[in-house]
This record gives sequence, structure tokens and C-alpha cells, in this order.
Amino acid sequence: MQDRLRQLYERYGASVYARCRQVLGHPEAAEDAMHDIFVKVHHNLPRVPKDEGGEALRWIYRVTTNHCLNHLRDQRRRLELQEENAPAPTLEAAWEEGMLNRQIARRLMRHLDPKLAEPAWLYYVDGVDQGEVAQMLGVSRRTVINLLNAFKEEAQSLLAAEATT
Amino acid sequence: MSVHVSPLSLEHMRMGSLPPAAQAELELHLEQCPRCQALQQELHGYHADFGAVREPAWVQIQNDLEQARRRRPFRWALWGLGAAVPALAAAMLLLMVQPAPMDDSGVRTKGDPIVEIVIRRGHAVMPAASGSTVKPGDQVGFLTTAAGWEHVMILGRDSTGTITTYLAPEGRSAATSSQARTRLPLAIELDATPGAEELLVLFSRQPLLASDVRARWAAKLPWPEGVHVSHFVLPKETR
Repeated sequence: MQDRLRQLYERYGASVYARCRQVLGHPEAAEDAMHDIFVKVHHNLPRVPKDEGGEALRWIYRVTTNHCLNHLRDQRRRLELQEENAPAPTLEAAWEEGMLNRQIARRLMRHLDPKLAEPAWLYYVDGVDQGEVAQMLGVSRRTVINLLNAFKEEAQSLLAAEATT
Repeated sequence: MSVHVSPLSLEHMRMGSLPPAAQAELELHLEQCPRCQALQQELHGYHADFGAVREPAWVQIQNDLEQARRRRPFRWALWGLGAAVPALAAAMLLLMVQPAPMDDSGVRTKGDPIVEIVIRRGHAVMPAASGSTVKPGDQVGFLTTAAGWEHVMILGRDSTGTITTYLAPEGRSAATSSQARTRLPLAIELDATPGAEELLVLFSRQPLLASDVRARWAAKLPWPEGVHVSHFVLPKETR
């Protein structure tokens, strides 16, 4: 089992670390998250798909994304001061650009319904289209559209509330 | 393909796990799209950074897994019993605390201390290990074998980074009351703060100052010689 874990670490460690850096931003947070993710992978080794066709990477990448998004939500009470003090972003500008910048996205993910976080990150930050998001999450495209609409609604309420305070 | 290339697709491309047609399409898009080129550069940078943390991070992962593995036989033995008759398991757990082997003088031979944790949930008591999922309201108890170590201290840290000292009377390590396997008179009730709970049990030859331990833990500084650390991470279910 240890050999398999080492093999996965050697093959996918860089991808996991890079994803953690992308979502979390800080190198230290990324390193801690990578550690926790591989401990989690170890506990779930029988569930890791074989390497053929990129299945293992897809699985580990999803675990990584979810772990990082959960981490963002959990850390909301210890936000970095500079981020807390940053002016409230205007969501309209973000929608117009077609993408959310990661700083805005992290703020939103900390506060919004966790079940919306994964599709929202994939669509608004990674730029994956709705069909691919549906495929990655194993749900219908209609479901993805509904989740994204719900995310947008919640995000707009949150940012509107921030703007008035 | 999406409007832009996803980071996952770039990772697939790097590993050569894309079908040839998809690979060609992606390469073509990359040639024309500055945003995706920037993303690719960013990922290259992170991959390079990984080189610096690869080995130390792996050693840390192995250490944590090794600690969990050492506790496993006890864990599985009691899980079976707990699943069959939870109430009986709760009662038995208290009775099963047996003295560790001692030499003729009655002093246990020195070695590594052993820390086992148990979770009390309602009437059930379950052995646990790092990685065991807990719930708000669960109580965490400790079974320790001091194995000749004279002092013990217990701290916890929740996902917000708040460190709480659980066992450090007057701000110092407590003297170990027994060298044999024994249940500590301490039960930590977990609150509803989401995220993982970490627990740190430190055995030492000399008493430690709680303030020093907290500062070291927060700053991720190495532990001084003569300190044995057991670290547990308990993911918490909040829904």
C-alpha cells in the first residue's frame, strides 16, 4: 500500500500541489493541504482508479479541489487582514470578464453554500464549460445550470450586503 | 473544448494522458490564447516549487501514517466489539485498561510512550485514530502508556487555528500518574466549529511550558529534544 501511495505521490504530487496553490494561494497552506490530501488518498487507496486514461488524475484532482474549497470555508474566521480590508469587489465586473479572479472567488467560497462551490469554481474560475462540469461532477447539465444560477444569486446577495456595510 | 483550457486539461497534457486529437486541439488553443498561456506558465511555476517540498512533505506524510498504523491493531479489535454491542463496549473499555508489562522493580522499561484515543458518542465508545471522523458533541478520551516518560501535556487546535490547552495544570505539563496503560481523567467535548480538530499529546522528560508549546505549534517550529509528540487529526462532520 505504501508503494502505491508513493507511486501516486511521485506521479501526481506536483499536480496536487499546483492545484492547492491555485485554489488556496499561499504556499504554506498548499503544502499543508497536500499533506492532508495524500493522507486521505492513503485511507481511500482501494477507491483510487487505475492510472490508465487519466482516471486516477481526475479522481485525485477532484479530491484536491474539494479539500481546498472546504479549507477555504473553514478558514473564513481567520482571513488575512489585507484580504478582509480589500474593497468589496463588484460582481458585475467579474461576470463581464467571464471569469472570477481568484481573490474574489476565494472570498465567495468562504461564505457560500459548499455544494455550490465546486461547480462555481470549475465554471467561473477554471473556465470549464457547463457540459464538462456536468461530466466531471457526474450530474446533468441542467443541474449544473441550476447550481450556477443559485451560486450567482447567493454571490450577488452577499456582495450587495458587503457593499452596504 | 471550453472557452479556455482547464488546469486539469493542462495537467493531462503534461502527463501525456490526452487522446491525440484532444492534445492537438489543446495545443492549437494554447498558441492563440494569452490567458491559457499564462495559466500554463503559472502551473509550471508551481510544479517547480513542488520540487523543493517534495521530499520533506513525503517524510511528514509517512510519519503521520506510521503513527496511525502503530495504533491500528487496538483500533480494529475494539471496533468489532463496539459494532456488536456498543453498550458493552463502553463498559468494557473501562475494564480493559490493563497494566503495561513491568520489570521486577515495578518500573516499566523506557521506550516510546503510546497514546490511544477513544470517542464517546452518546452511549457508544469507539476507538479512534488520526483520520477518524468526529461530530460536534463527541467526547474525546485518552489512554496513555507513559513508558517511563514523566510529564504529559495535551493541546488542541480547531480549523480556525485557535489553540486550546487541555492538560497543563498551572501552565505546565502534568506529571504522569502511572507508567502503565491508563485512562487520563480528561474528556474533550468537540464543538461545532467546522473542519478538522487536531490534538497534540506531548510526553517529556522535563515539564514543558504551555505558552512555549503553543507558540512552537503555531509557528511550526521543531520540538526540542526529549519531547515525544503524538499528533491526531480528526475531520469533523458538521452536516
